[in-house]
Amino acid sequence: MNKGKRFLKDLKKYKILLLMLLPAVIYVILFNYIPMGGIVLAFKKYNYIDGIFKSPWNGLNNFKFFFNSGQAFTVTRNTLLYNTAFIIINNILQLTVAILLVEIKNKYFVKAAQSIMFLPYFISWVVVSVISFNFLSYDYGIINKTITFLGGEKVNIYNIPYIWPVIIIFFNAWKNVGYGSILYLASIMGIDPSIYEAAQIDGAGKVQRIFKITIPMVRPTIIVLVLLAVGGIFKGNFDLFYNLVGSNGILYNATDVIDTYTFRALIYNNDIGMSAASGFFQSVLCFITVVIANKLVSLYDKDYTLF
Amino acid sequence: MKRKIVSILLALTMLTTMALTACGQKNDNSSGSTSENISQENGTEEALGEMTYRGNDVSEPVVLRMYLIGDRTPDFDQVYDEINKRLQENVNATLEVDFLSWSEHDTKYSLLFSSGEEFDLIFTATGWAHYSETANMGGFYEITDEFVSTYAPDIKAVVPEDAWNQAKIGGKDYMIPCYKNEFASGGNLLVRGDLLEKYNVNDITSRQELESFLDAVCENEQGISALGTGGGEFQDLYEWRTLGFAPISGDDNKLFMYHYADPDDVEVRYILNWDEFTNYCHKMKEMYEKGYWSADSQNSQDEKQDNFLNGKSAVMTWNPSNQLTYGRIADSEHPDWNCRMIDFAPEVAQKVYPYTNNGMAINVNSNHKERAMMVLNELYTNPEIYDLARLGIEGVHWEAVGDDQYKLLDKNSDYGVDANCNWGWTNEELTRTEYVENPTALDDSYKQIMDSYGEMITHHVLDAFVFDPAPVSTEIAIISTLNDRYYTLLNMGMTEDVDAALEEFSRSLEEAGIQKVIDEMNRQVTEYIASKN
Repeated sequence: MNKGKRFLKDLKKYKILLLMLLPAVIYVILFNYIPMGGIVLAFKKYNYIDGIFKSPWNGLNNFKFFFNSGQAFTVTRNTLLYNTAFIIINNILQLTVAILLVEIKNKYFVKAAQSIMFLPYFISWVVVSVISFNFLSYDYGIINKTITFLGGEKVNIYNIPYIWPVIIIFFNAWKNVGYGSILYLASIMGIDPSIYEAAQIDGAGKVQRIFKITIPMVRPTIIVLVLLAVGGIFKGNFDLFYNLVGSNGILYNATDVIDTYTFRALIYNNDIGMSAASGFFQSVLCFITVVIANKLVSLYDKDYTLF
Repeated sequence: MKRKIVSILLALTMLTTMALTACGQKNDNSSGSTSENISQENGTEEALGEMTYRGNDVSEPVVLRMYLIGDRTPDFDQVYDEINKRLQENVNATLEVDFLSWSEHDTKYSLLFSSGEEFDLIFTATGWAHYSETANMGGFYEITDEFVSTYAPDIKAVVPEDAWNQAKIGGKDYMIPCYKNEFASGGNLLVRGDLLEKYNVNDITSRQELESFLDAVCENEQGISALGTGGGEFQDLYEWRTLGFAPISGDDNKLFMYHYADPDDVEVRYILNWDEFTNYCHKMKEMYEKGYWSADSQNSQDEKQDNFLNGKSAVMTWNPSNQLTYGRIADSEHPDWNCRMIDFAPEVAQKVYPYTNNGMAINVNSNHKERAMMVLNELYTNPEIYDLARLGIEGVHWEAVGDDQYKLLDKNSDYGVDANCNWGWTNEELTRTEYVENPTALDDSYKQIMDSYGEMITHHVLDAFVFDPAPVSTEIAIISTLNDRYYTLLNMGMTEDVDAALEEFSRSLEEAGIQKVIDEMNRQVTEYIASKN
């Protein structure tokens, strides 16, 4: 009884904040919770007449194509490694950029630098793929033109698998660092300036202030951002891989992720059941990693966990 | 201050939600109101009394929605207004047409069915336009013999029995196939005449002659190669056509071939156990190394007509009518090119596509299945409507020459000939041929090639066989991921070592369960042949 009263009181007290939360809640329910019902498709032999819920059951047959392919290990490994690299490299770069921007005193330079770095975030991957093709192409690419101009031998970049992890990580960082650095920037701005003043009076240099004050103070932000990213560690960024690599078989061992693999397998035969099965498989993997990561964080410090 | 920020944020979220919902509503409104308007218009005519079509009651006016594949031409709506006037008069129905563009139909076609979109008619085809996949998932309404006889007796009279049999899946028919002997694509080449002249080539009648010509082009011309960035385009000519072989339809991975040029040879070849395939792969590597196509072929987005029209390729592969179309464009943009079509294997008969290579189907959820069939009957067999859909408005886009020929008028470029996905109801009996006043070298070569194909039509029992992949769908899904990894590269000659790549391809296919697919293929083929005898 008492609890219920308090709930109502809280509801009244925070009504503006709760109202602000409402669109996000509706969004999550509409696009994340309700579609979960569709998981049944992974176990069904779908047809148009019976629809999602009335189609006949199919056992685990929809999962077979993925595990019998001989590619399951390669693509899962690629997805995991790429996403790990993205998380580590992007977060380090974002934090570095944010710290540098705070330290630079010229306001106009900071604004200009921020805008330029922020811009790629809004460019679609399709456009990025055209840009990258114009850099890397064998006949007309800027890189090969430069090499021949300097008297070297042309390189067919689209034929060399081992360069591609570097290219993909580069483009992903180029696109996301500007956006991510803003989150860190905001959290650095929130640090109490008196701490810095005190440190300065005590004789701490710039480098010391960064490592002893800034980084420890933004640690909760780092942990939350990394945790959120870890949740998606088994989801390959389809746009990125599909657009940059296209259907180039030479590169698949180095660049194929779960999403592109599934797309290729199912684009022509419209098998909705198999697509649902591979999506379900990814979600289960993601769920397990999030739970484990959260557990690890709670071992380090209970206050930093998500749940 | 704080309050201000909160109110701004709130206003922003409200704006976005409003914008989102408004967009959704706007669409609903517009489509709703148009159909309402039309039905109101029709309502006035209803008062005139009972109406029948071939003995069926059509007094209630309806609007049918039809999906076609391709892009809407500038004059499309104008022409379909004319068609609708006539359909309204004859069957008391009008058509609203939507297009699935070339680039999106692969992904959107199945969405139309799974999302429960309301429509009545849709274009379909075996092999390239989703027929068996959709039929297997129950998307199409079954077309029974009785249904056709009742609602489309004229189609029944025109379309041959063979065509209906070709469309059968598991003994049932879901398509109204077209009636036309269409020659397979890629059996010949469109060539730049100026280059032929430059290297003193009069005629090309064999592979050797073709290759020595292309060698000369690749060696001496700056920026022109045989195919530009079109690596893999020679598959049809080298692996299939010149040998008299063709892939079994329904097998999208193109792993099974049959000998269409020899009706007595009914054995189906699995290409990895077939010596000709090994030879072909070696040939492609040799060509790639000679620079017949660019190393960018895998990642370039250019289409074959882009390569040809931009002067990057010396030849273009495709079906004869597309070669004629693009050859004409090339000739008008570059009069000195003097394009020509050549058939470099004139001794081998050209394959004829099955009738089901184009067709129309009725949505299983349509509310007006009978009327849709009657409208198809009109499109298919009413000469006036047929000409409208195929050629456009007489006097604007074309002009009649006699009873069975037509001449193009200048406005034709806004509608085209056979350019509006009217292929599903192609009816050879009503198809006018073009009357050309001043034939160019291109027109002559086209006519010559079509004549020689016409003289050599062969019929193989497996021409109309369509493999049904449903029993082995898991294996097929795995195999299609291997294709890009190996087959595409072999086609483009881009593997380091052809024999090693073939061996790896073969081994991966075995792991993916190809034996099960081979067994299923043989079972279906044997059953099919037995049913035909």
